[in-house]
Amino acid sequence: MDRHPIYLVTGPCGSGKTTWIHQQLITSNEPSAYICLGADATPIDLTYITATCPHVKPISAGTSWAQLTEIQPLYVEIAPQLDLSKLQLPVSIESCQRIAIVPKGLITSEYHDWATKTLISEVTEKNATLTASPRWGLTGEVLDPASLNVFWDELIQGAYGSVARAKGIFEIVDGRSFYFSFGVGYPDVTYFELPLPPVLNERPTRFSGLEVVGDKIQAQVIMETLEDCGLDDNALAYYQEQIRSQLSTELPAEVLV
Amino acid sequence: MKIAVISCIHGNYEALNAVLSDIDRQKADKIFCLGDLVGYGPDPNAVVEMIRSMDIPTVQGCWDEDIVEGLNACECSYPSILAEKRGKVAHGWTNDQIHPEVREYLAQLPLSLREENLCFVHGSPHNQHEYLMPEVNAFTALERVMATGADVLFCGHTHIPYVRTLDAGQLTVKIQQPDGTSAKQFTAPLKQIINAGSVGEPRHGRPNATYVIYDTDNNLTRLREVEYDYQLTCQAIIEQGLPAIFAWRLAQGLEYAERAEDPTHVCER
Repeated sequence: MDRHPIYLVTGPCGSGKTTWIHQQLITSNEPSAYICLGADATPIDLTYITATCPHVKPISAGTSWAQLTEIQPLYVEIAPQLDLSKLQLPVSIESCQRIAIVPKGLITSEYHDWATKTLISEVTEKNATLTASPRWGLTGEVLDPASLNVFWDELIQGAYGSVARAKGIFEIVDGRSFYFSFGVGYPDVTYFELPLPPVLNERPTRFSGLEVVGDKIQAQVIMETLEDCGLDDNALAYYQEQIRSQLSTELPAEVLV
Repeated sequence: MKIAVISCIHGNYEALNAVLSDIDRQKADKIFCLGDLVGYGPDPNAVVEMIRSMDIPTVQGCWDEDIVEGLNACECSYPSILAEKRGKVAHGWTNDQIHPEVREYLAQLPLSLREENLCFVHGSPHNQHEYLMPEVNAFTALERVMATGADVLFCGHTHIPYVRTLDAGQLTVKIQQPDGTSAKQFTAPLKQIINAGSVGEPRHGRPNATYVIYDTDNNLTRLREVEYDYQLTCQAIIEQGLPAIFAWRLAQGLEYAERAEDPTHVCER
């Protein structure tokens, strides 16, 4: 039986690597696997993909490649900060499909040289040289949604530095988890609820976090502002109790017989 | 008579200076101020001294009240946790900076002023904290004007200037009681609500100051938008140690902290 190849997907910051992989996965129901090399501490893409594509096996650091290659197709996203020329994998790189996702207008690059297939995305060339991306793990933080909206608007409008790409997963007080995405040259600012079970008891233990790519990013101010958007233990317990109480008093739908 | 109405200066001395110069050029006969002289901006004392020195009739705004009586507004004043934290930083800073005589001046300001058929308030006739948004329903809007007994109600607080004309009309109020329903009809004359916008903390997407000129002879209103060197204010915000995000928001034409969204809510203290 023919086996699907392992797809190694690379490209500059914000070129649309995760978007392309997601497009491949969302249109298929067959078991698949995904890993993002270089983003183990803040697995935003991994969380987004596995939450929206239940048939995709979430792969985190420490998983053996022997196990990984059992599930194919396997999509391996390679973060831009990794040096492609020094990339070492337990499988032969030559045996994999090497795909570069590059922005419009980027004619030559290390990504073109390395890949066996180059795909042109809709985003502009502006971000091609950006690789440094401050990241914040926010697991356990629960944010006030109105504050999050203000923070996000300020962030993407440049209040904390010139942002080329930002994406994050945030937990809000009613127990829901949201994915936010912004990129210069992207058609829309995106945010939507992830299909995950609500957390209404104490702090969520599932991953949440933020990644920002840009110029002169004020990492400390961003961290402080996010802290100001968060609920303390007392406030969180109060609101969770309110929501649980509200849910428990809602009458079940009337059954007609 | 041509009157100028200014509001919501919020410690922005550069903006106030520019607006006063523009008022001078417009040859206004009298100036009224709708309060919020202090809060968020870097020059609260200088702003109050300027208003005092010019003897400008002024009502007390919600920020002026909070500086006098302490920050005890209910949660409705803050639409988000972030806004609350920023507001408290601004309040603490302003409270530390304000001179005793400035505090005394703010304490004695009236809640409303009358000039013939005109009434001047900060938020609404009911409360300095109440927002009279342009889209508030017609009945509420009319009730607020009629509560003053005036024909024209000048307000601020929303930071967005507008003129709303409430056409003359027939109103019917029905009261349901145990012994039946009674109805009372009355005719409401033409009324106006005129919001003066904000001198020092605009919210219309540009950093320019706004105020209004009203001509009592022909009832005409002109909304004025005045450019000024807002970068000087931004610089002063940074130099004074206020949060840098205030400078960024001012430069974008955004309020330092966004306003509460519920226009019908009245702060209950």
